[in-house]
Amino acid sequence: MGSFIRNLKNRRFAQGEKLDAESLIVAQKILVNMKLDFLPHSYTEFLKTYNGIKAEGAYIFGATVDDDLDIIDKNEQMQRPRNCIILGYNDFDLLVYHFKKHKYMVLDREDYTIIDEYNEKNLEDALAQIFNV
Amino acid sequence: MNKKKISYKEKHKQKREKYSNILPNDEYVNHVSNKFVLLLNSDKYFYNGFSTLSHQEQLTYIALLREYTKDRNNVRHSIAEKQLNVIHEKTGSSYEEGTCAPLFVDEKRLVRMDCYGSINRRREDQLSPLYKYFRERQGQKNYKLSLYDLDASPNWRVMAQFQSFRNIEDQIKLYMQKNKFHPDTLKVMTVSDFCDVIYNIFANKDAERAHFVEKEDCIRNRYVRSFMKNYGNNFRNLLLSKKIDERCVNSLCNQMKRFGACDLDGLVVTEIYHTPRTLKALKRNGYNVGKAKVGDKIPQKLVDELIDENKANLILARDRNGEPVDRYVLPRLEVHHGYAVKFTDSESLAASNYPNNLVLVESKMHQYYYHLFDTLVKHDNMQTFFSHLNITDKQMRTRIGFAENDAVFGDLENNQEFLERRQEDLLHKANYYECQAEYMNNVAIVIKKHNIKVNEYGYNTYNSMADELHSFIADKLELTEFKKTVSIAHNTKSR
Repeated sequence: MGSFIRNLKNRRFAQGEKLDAESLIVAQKILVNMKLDFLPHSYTEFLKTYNGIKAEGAYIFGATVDDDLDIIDKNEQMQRPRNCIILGYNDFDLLVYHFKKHKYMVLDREDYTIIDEYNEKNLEDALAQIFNV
Repeated sequence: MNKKKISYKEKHKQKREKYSNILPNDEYVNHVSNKFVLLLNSDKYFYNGFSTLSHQEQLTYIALLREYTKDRNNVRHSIAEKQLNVIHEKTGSSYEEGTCAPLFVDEKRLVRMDCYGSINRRREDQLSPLYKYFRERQGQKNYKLSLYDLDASPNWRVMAQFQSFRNIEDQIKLYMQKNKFHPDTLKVMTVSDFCDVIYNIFANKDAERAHFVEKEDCIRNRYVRSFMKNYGNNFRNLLLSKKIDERCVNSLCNQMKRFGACDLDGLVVTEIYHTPRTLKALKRNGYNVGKAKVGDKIPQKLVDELIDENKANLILARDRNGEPVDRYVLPRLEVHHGYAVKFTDSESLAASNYPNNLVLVESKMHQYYYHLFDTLVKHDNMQTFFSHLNITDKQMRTRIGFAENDAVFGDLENNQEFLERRQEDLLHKANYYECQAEYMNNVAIVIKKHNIKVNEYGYNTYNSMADELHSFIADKLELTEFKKTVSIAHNTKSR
């Protein structure tokens, strides 16, 4: 468990229901049908602890029935940068997973400029940046 | 409230079945309801019809209009443009397109850091070779504090445009002195290098993020508090006019006023007046309620005390069935920057986070209206085509819907504190290009002065950076020292 998850405990936020294997399979399947890709391992591991979280205009999506946090709904509804799955957002930025480059990216919500990028093992840095924890 | 719980699989199965039933064989317009078709054909009284749609339908309709405006050959292009202009006008916004010089990523990062009062940990590969060079040699000698001159650092001057960074200057200097950095380090530090220093000063152990401003005092929270202090009553009345439960309204307003937070998920909606249940719960938990009886107002002091002690559940507001009231009838608010962050260099970079440039907007409007019109197409490094929805009414402090009166207006800049801050900001205005030119010159001078073997310290990084910026800057400014050093490095490498 990284410090992002530890620090979350000091913060008030809402979360999706506990992740079950079936929901994750459903989400993965639909994402692939949408011509996106599978969620990276580090992200699915995070979802096992928190299946989507939201607070103060910041959202991290999961495989949850909560419409605000549902990764499928959001990737269907929001304008998406190419080759990216949207994983969350805040007032300024989107958190995406670029499945061609295998990187997490924080992109400017207005023009998709790359503000920061992280490799798969540094997911918690990306999450902390979006969630301001 | 008591929706039947469905599984994730069931949710998406239902959704897909629903879509497969309504999928049309014809044009996109056949998807939409009769209401939309009627609206598209109405002209004069369009806005009246639009106002009768639900919030979700309004957003969908706007998305449809936006699609039509993207295609000039579409028969509905002109009517869609006209109708969108009416909506923009009613909501105090205007669509704008043209060319602009976009902000650099460093500048964008700084606007975010200033707004949240926090920064992310920088990775080693994001730090400059020269900073790492001096960091490896730190602790060799003591230097006087007065030698650490932040004004001599071009990248600090970029950062010091913001008051939040100016406020921590002394801590930066002390850190550099305490860790015995060579004073020349400041001259060649990048924004990322400074972030590393700030992180080291303020971060808790192993944290990914460091808060250099207390979370409750960051610009975002300060804005909400200041809005509530000045226009809280208007906001409260706006919510009540929407027939939202007064207990929800009061609880949200109190949270915004006290903590600068407009979050619904952590919000505990409390009773306004004592009920048998609240009195019983308070007594059972040892709270002295005196002679209070059912129907008496719960003193605000007690409400705040219970919230602070995490015991607000004792006075939790309940509906007739005894269930907690639904707080999600309240609008979910997010902070939107009124005019685009990328265009704010006209006054100063700091102006992007000025109170009159911030608006609390309903979250779905934020996402599907205010950001629907964003386009940015880069032609080259300096010229970019953009389209954007600007909020033209600078007095608009919050907007929760498309009706004209779904907003609260006010001026948060007409006070001494702000005017002084603005004056200070103007004195610290910095030109990013000029600062980068000076920075590159400093790099060349410091490399020479300290006799640093450039190839060992990632000089290639500087070459690639120079490739990006050099041609532009060199045309405008004379960078002889830098050019000379780059050419020496090239020659050394080729040998």
